[in-house]
Amino acid sequence: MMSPHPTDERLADILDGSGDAEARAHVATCERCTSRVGDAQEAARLAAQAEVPEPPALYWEAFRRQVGRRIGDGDDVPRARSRRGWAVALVATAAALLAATLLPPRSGPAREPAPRIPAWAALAGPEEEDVGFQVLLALGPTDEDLGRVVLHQGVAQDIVDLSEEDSQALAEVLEGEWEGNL
Amino acid sequence: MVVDALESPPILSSRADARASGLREDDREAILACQRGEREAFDRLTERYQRDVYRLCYRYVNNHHDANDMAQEAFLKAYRALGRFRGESAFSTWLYRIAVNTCLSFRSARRPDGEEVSEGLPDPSPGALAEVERQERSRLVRDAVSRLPEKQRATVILKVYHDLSHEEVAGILGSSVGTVKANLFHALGNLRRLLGTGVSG
Repeated sequence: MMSPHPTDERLADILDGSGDAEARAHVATCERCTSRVGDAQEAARLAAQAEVPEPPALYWEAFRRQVGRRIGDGDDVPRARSRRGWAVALVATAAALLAATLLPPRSGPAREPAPRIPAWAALAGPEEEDVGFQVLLALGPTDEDLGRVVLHQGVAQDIVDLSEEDSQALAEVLEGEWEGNL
Repeated sequence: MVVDALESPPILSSRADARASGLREDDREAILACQRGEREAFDRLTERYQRDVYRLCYRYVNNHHDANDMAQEAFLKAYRALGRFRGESAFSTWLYRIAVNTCLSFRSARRPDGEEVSEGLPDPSPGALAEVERQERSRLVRDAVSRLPEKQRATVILKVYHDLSHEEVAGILGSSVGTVKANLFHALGNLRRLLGTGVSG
């Protein structure tokens, strides 16, 4: 009479060659257990062949620096900008461009000329490590390109600081202004 | 606060105890330096283990962006807890435990599975075709692993990819050795079913 099926724990021992004699003898004569052990061995073989895509070599240097930076800052909040974060920042910047184009310049005393730095620099973030940010810096408009935006000193920082709700409200105001100008 | 945690006196086990527990001497030196407040010593530990931790996280979350976040989080948690590390296990085992727990508690909105680091456009040569097929097989297996129940997934990852002993996996997952073995066998059976007959290699 065939012995009872070994437990999964004992069958796992057979996988790495350390199964007890009774369990091995059972598996040798039991179609069900032979099949289960064979499936597990095949799955382990396939799993072992599955590689993880290797990030570019520069990634590891950036990773180490970012961990060091966060430790140095005592910052345990993920600083990598999420997709949502990027979306909010881009919407806010687009809103600023729209405002500069559509809104009339403010009257009043002339302001001091703004420092000649790209408006993108007002966006908070780990610039050195963030490749996406570097691309935006390279491709994004400078203050010269933005024209009247630089007259409204502080607007870039203001839009970066907006919450999503405020961004939505700003978008609605700008939409109203736009319709009013048409 | 990170600094406070590290200002407590070093409580790391002796060199002999450390060797017995599997703690590498260079890890022990770096940890002692961190416990003395030398933050840059943690750089060495990060550099030494970042690939293993990243890959462990990648196999768990199955995409680069989340793996990056989880791996960074694991190192930060490790740094904060370093003052309490007693050297009773290898540093890598302790770090893996933190990484696994970080992944297990990962509940944020997930990106679609299978998102990967760009590997460029495939070259249409026969060698490149074989490479594409190999990558596709890998992707199918990673997808299947990522669909396993959490403890089974962690068991497969630690056993198959990090080649840890049943005892080490049990220590990391807070389970008994028997549970780890049963989980592993069950997980591999599930994995074979998930892969069906469409994957061979």
